[in-house]
Amino acid sequence: MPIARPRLLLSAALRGAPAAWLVLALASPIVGCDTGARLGALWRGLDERSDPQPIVAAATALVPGIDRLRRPGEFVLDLRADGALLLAEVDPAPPDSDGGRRLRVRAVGGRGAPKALADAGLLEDARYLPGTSALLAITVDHRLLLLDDAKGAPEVLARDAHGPLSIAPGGHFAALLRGAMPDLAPARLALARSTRSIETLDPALAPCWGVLVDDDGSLRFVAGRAGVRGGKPAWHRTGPAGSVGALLATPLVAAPSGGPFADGPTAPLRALRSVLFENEAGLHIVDDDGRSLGAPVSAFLPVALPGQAALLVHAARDGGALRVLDVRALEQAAAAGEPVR
Amino acid sequence: MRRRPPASALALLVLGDLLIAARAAQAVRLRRPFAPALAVRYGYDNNHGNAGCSDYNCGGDCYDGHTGSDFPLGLGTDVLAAAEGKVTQVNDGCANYGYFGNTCGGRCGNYVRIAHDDGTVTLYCHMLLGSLRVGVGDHVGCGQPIGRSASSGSSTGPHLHLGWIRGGVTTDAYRGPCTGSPGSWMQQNGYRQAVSDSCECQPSAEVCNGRDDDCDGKVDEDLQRGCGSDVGECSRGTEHCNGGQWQGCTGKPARAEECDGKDNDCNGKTDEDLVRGCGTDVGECTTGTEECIQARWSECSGVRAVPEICDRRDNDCNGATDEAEVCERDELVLQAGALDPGGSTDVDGDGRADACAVGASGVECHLARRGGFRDVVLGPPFAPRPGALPAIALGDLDGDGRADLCVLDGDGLGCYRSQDGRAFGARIEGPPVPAAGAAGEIGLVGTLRLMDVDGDGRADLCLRGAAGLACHRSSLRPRREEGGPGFDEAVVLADLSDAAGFGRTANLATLRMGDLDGDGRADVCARAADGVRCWLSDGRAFSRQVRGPEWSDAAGFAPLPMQATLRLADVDGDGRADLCGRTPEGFACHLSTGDGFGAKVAGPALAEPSWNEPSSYASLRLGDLDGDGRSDLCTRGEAGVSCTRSGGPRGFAEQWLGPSLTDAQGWNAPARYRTLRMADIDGDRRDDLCVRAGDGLRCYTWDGVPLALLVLGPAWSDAAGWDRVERFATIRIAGRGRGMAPEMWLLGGCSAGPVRQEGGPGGFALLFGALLLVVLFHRGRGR
Repeated sequence: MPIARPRLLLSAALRGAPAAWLVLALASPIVGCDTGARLGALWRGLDERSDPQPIVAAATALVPGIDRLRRPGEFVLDLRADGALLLAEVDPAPPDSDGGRRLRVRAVGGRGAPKALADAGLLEDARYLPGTSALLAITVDHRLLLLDDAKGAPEVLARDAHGPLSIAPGGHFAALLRGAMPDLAPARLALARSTRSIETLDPALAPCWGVLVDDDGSLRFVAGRAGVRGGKPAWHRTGPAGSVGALLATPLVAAPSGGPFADGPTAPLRALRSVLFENEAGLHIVDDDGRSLGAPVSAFLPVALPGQAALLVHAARDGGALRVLDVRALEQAAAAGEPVR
Repeated sequence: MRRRPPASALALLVLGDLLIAARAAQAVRLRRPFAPALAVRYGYDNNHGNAGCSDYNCGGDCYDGHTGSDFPLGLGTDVLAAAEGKVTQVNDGCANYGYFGNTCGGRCGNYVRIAHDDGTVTLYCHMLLGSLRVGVGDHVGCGQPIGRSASSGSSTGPHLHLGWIRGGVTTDAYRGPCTGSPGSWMQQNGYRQAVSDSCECQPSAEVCNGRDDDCDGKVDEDLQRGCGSDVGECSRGTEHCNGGQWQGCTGKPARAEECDGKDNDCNGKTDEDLVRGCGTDVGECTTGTEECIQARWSECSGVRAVPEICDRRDNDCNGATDEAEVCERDELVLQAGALDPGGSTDVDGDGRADACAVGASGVECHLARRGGFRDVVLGPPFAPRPGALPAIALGDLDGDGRADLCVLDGDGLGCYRSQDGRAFGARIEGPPVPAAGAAGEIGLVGTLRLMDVDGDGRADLCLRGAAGLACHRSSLRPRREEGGPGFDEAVVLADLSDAAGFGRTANLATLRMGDLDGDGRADVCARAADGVRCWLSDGRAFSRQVRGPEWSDAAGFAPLPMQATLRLADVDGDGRADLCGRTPEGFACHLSTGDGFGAKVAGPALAEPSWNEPSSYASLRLGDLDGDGRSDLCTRGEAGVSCTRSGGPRGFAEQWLGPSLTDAQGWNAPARYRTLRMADIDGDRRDDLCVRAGDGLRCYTWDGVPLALLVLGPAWSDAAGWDRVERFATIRIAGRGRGMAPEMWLLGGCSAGPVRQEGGPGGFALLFGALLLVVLFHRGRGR
């Protein structure tokens, strides 16, 4: 792994944001570590800070370090609080076809990733499990795997699994889709070792997509609700895991039936009071009831910064330049009716 | 009261039910779900779960994990129901240009699903937003437009994904050799051809085309025809149609022509145009071609493999050069007659070394006479041991001054005493032949020696076997009657046994014998990985071991071009054999002190790369050329023979040029340079140099300077077969005479005569001799 020189990181941070030196000072004990570790230190250092500006500025200052770790064509798939990065590259697909999206995934930085990741081959999606060294992955033959060095060989948690994967910030739940194209229905995976289980919603809801799971296990997703002439897809949600409505999907009546919907290759993300997701137009921000909060931002492949109201986003659908978005600024701009760039 | 329906109505109902049942039971066939005559571009992957993909025809028109058939429809093309049925699901609302990874509509984008009467389902994906013309519950007819094509959902460009679900399982819509699917199409047509756009079958005569031409629900049924021919090896038969292909001709079919004198391909010609590559480009070999002629393959035109010989080339073309100790074997066997001083081939006891070898009719010794070789003493016929080269040794077994002969042949060890230099006597059986050991027969052939190990003036018979070196002491007396036992107990050196780690050919090839301490008894030296060791004879045993110089593997003496040059020769004239050899620093001798080795005497560098060729390093000889009692060094290299005079402890200095035995003239051939011998053939106490040329043996003798006068020897020519190893390897010429004036050699009458070496000084000696004769003649007359 290439080692980023601390002096370069420092100067980049200072150029990006004058206040960032404070943040980097919090990480001073790890001078000499690689970029991944420095990222981890950055997240930890920012946990207690309330002002988002230094967060965005300091994170932005570390983008060149991440770029040095990326190979051409790679984008950031996920990152962990210790600074570990999952980098991915899309395997080329034939033109005018509909093959599954296949990713070549590798881990850099932090405490690394399970060794089994290198043997897992092409994946449809992969995400770190917060607070652990394990990760979840969906293979191109639709197996949901738990990769954990402590458990040895990968554990197959489910078959007929489809991405994208949504991981609740607390790390207790994950969500995905199950079935066969296009008959895909949302499924909720309880990750606690003692109560690990997977529940799949009524297949009659299919086709479904854009699943988000919250810390309480409630799901939010788009259902096509087939069967009505001229019918449109609509946002739905369920009750919290373990509740009476845990498997009962109800439409979000406030959300417009015409969209926008989360139909990008990544799952929706929750930050502050908003839900953020991508589609062909870019990154959308909606409120908890599914109401759009403004025009989409030209940003793709969003990745949550652990514990922060900020996202790392890419300039294009297949990757490209990185930048950091401040969710609070997005919300404020939407409330003021201003376009967010 | 309910009225019973009339019988005709019941009949109609029953008929209707039957029709429905029959219709439901019959497989629904699909038409092309669009108008353009487009073939499928990416088909269903039948390579279930494995990497890569396989389409229905075992081709690659698919991608891994694909569950349908992709047709390259342009944006907005009408999508048609592939068969009559009922719409069970639609999805609309996805953007027209979804992209790779887009999840809208469960990745299918805007789509329609139709259930057909036979339970099968068709699925039409990636359609244009807002273009769907049907809703759930609608009945659609075959070919009815249901929407338009686009690229919604997870799609990399406009196309139609058609899914065919049979028995609840997504199935390949096509039939073929790499799918278990029965196929869905009304008329599938050929591979990479568009399927039929007809909703109904048009009956015609069934032909072998993979289609249901007669619309009876069966494909290519009951089709059979005659096949094959009666030409050549073929015979006629019948074949049947399967999957659109004629198969299984019961006659004997044509096959590829073979080189067997038959018309295998049934074209009326036999073994025609059969040429194939042959050989290899490995090593010295080259590839070539061979041609079929009269049912046999001709000789390969390339260079073929030959048995490996020691020439730093890969002769047997197995990728290895001089492998299996071939060079070490050469050194052991081919140098046996050239290396050890002390033996003698003076069969007639006249002080001149005679030339002996195994010829076509047995051992023959050509006696050196005044002016050349003349009389021949024939020895016994020779039948070598199975798989072994002939092995002979000469030496004076009975102390009568004449060299006797010992052989290792098919009958074992036997010796023949020289009878007054005119013949060899009856066979005296030698000791039993020992077990050969790890090195095999060549270990015996290469170590047969006649050396005087007990100092009684009689040569003893030495042979190294698995148990070590055994020298059987001669008990023969000069005038003893023949027939009695010829040898007493053996002096054994077990340190040279296989068990002592001395069984490798490379070790045996360094075995040397000579008198190291000047006590008249032959001692033994040999080299192992840690250097040279010698064993001194006390007459009854090799009782004392002394260390030689540290010419160890670690010191760079392991390569054969170094260790093969190990020699024992008295270079300082003190009566003790010294140890010489080529070292990484050049040629050097360590002078014997009687109980070890002392000062180092340096010789020429011998550093050119050509000295790593066997034709050079194996040509190194030591002999006393100028009669000063010190062995001089002669070498044969690319440019011919060059000798260096020994100055004793002062080293080697003065150089003499010898005969022009150059590589360019072919003297680097083993049949030439392996026959180099140094011996005193004219009895002048100076060693001469003999070597076998193409037309026979040549010797170069003293004529004021060493090696100046050419003397022709026996006609051991190539034409007579003396270029074969079993001949030239047996040439023995050894020993130094009792002394004879050179002019006596010159004046001796000889028809063969000494022949002047071109440009040499011998002409003046002849002229001087003639003048001397004239003067003596006139003086005699005057008196």
